[in-house]
Amino acid sequence: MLDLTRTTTALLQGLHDVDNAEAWASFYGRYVPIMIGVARRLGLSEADAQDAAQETLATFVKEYRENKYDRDRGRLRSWLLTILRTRVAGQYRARAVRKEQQGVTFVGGVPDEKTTSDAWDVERRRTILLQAIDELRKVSKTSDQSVHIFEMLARDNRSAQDVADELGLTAQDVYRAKSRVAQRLREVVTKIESVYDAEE
Amino acid sequence: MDEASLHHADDDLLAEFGQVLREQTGQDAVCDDRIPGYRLERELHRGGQGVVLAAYQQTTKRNVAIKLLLDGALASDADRARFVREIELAAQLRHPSIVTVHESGKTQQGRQYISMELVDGSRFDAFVEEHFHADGLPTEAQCREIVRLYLAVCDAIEYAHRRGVIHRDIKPGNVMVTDDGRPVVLDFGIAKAAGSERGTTKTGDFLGTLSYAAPEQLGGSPDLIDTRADVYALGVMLYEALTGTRPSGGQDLSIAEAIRNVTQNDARRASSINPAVSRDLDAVLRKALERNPAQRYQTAGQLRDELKRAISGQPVRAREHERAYLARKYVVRHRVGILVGAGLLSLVLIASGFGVQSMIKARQASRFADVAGSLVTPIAGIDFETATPVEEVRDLEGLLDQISVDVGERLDRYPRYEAPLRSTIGLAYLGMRKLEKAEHELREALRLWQSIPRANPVALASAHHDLGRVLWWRAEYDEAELEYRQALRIRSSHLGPEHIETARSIHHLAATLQGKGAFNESEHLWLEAIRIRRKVLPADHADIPNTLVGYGSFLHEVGRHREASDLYAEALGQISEISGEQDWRTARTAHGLGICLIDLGEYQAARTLLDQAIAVKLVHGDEPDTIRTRVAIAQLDLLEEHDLGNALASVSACVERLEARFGLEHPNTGEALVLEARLLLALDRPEDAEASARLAMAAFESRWSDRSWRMGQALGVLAQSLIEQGRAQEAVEPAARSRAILMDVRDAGDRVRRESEDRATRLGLLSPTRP
Repeated sequence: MLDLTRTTTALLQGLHDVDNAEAWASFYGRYVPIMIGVARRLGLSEADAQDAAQETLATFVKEYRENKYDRDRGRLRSWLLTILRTRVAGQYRARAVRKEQQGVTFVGGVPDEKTTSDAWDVERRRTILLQAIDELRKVSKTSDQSVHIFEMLARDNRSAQDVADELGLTAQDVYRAKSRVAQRLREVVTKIESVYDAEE
Repeated sequence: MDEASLHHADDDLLAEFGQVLREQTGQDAVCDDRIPGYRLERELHRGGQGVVLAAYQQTTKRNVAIKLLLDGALASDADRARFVREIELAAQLRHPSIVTVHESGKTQQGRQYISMELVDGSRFDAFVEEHFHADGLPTEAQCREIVRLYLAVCDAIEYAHRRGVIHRDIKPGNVMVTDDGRPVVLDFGIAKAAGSERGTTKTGDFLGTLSYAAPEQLGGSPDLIDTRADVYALGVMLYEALTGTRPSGGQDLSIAEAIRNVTQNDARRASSINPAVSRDLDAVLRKALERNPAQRYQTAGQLRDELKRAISGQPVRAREHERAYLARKYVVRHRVGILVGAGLLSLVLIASGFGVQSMIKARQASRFADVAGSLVTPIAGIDFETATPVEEVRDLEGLLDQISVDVGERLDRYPRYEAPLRSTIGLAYLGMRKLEKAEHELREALRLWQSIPRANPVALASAHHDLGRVLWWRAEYDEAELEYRQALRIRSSHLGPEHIETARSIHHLAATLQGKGAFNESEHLWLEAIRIRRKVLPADHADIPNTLVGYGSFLHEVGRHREASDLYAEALGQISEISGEQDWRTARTAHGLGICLIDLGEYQAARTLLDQAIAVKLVHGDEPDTIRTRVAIAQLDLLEEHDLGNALASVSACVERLEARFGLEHPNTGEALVLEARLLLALDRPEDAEASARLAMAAFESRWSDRSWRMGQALGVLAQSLIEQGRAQEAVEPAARSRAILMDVRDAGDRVRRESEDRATRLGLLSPTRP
């Protein structure tokens, strides 16, 4: 289950301990998916985005352990984004070099702060929503179909009646499931948001 | 919010989720996939490697769970082949707490899928959360309930291990609890087959998986992972269930760090988080969570049994070193037992009306002896002679201590009663490998028999023989030889030269002479023991191959590896026929053959045999025997240059355990020390190698003939370590001695001899032109 027991601040303290794999893993689980998404939005391929995100995290942890990260001087996300932007720029450069070798001029610069920051917001929300629905699935009993119902309604844009017919339920059942899931999702999302907000 | 705006908010949320879910779906396109014969219904879970779906199998009309591996989970053809093999293995598991695998195959789009029983229930952690954490942390009674539930999980893992299936990814997400309270373990073998989820970047399981991984899983190669990694994960899960927290602390250790930190164990005591966790459970969890796999419970079965003990108030092995603890446990649990067992025996006697010491007549003494004997006999019923020490026996040490004291107090003027009791107690200690206590009792027994006029000579012979055994275990070969010779003389004259008991003493005397390096007479006796046993025992009697194994070890010892391996192979055939593949005797013989093959350079076959041996031996706990096989495997690693750091860690742990059991100056310890030194040399640490080699020599010198080829080896390693430190001058003497010994030993492994020659050449002891 998603580790919601510790705030990011606590995780950051854990990162000081080289041996604390769990803090590292939690941190990874929290921020790498966001950074992959951001890098993708900035035009990197999936594989390049993964590399950039992981390198960013590694750099961050290293700098953090060297006490270069100062909470008062900037928020965690801007710290991470600064590193990530450099990484993305590095990827751009590499791509440019490849293109130039092929005789094509490639003009690319370091993505600006506003663009990356906006991308972060979108990706953070996306990551949290996915985590929330995962979380809900995990705590549901096998026989509980309500998350599935919610997904059918949300993803496939189907009508309640349509879903009810397929599952052999009444539309009323479907509505009830939908609002129950929505209610719980809101709770979980709020909880996850607060975990992120504590540091960002 | 009123109902209308709530409804509106729901729709906003729905729209937002819709977009996110569609993006995700677009990424893996699992939703469009089909499996012939199944109707895929809904997603149950999504992880790093795959998606689990509820489905309906049309032919069998049953609901099933389908695990679909995402693209990239199986990278190569080799991965896929391994996956299929693992699934086949897992499909053979039939256990109420293991999910039944129906079949596996490929989807229309070519993804690998597995179809299995659809378990109706909740994830383990959600179940625990709902039932036991609702009002804060679980109470003491609830802790016991959780453990009781957990026993089934341990049992399932143990069952799988015995069939060669390691789970490798035990975590709450892989254990369900059905609505009627039955835990079911999912995903057997899949983790291994599909590769670890580490490093995957998909959201979700990454983090969960890492928290349950044993240190060795994080540190090194996957080859390191054995059943004990599962034991670790079981520990993490239970810890979490009892305390609501995962054991914190360093897990991300490289092998090198692991070696440094083996003694550290920084999981916080579970009871410091939840005071309702008993000290026994605390100790059991700590042992399950040991960083060093050798210190952990070796099997899930051991963990299960310990948990059972912990919740039923029996002493747990994890705390057996705490003497006060044991005493307390016995008083609490065996209130009646102790009453009969010890001080209580005296109570029985005194209570029977004879307060005055002088009035205790022989008759009462005899009664006491009967009672004490009947207590000790069940312990002695175990086959101590060929001895696989039995787990349960260990907890009885405290009881034996008491009986021993009481026997002394009550029977000291009745040697006829005391002597056999002392023998029995001594043999019981020997079975537990409590060598010091065993020696004390058996010496006492012999003294008593000798004090009895016209004692039964056969009993006296047994007393000599038994004392010989404990002395042999302590590697006091000279003294052991004397006792065995006495026993042999008496048995031979009273029972006949070809009696089965006589053969037994011959067998043991042969082993003793072998130990002290008197090889000629030893060989003669080995052959004699084999001859007699073949003559008087039925052809399928286990003692025959047993003696063959003994002679095999002799041949190996003197460097006649080919003959030894032939003999071992013969014995292995017979023993596995008589005792079965899973028997420890079979394992011991496989070990013997394995180490012969190492010296013959047949590494691959050797590894197969040693792996077989260790698998069986692990079930029997961490006995010296198991350690020897570990050492042998490490030796193979050295020869094949296979993960030397790990091999070193393993051997160093073995040295520690051997030292704890036999002392530093014991040939068993010496053997491991030589290997440690060789590994250190291979790892380019000649200073450390020198230290280990010197310790090994001390071990051999103290009790062994300094002409044994092991001594030759130790000297050789010492010389090598000195050379590599640039101290060639000091190396001359040990190199020369080493060479003299090794040249002398008839066909001592070619490799060892070649090394010695090389060294001698380099030091100028030999002319380099010599062929």
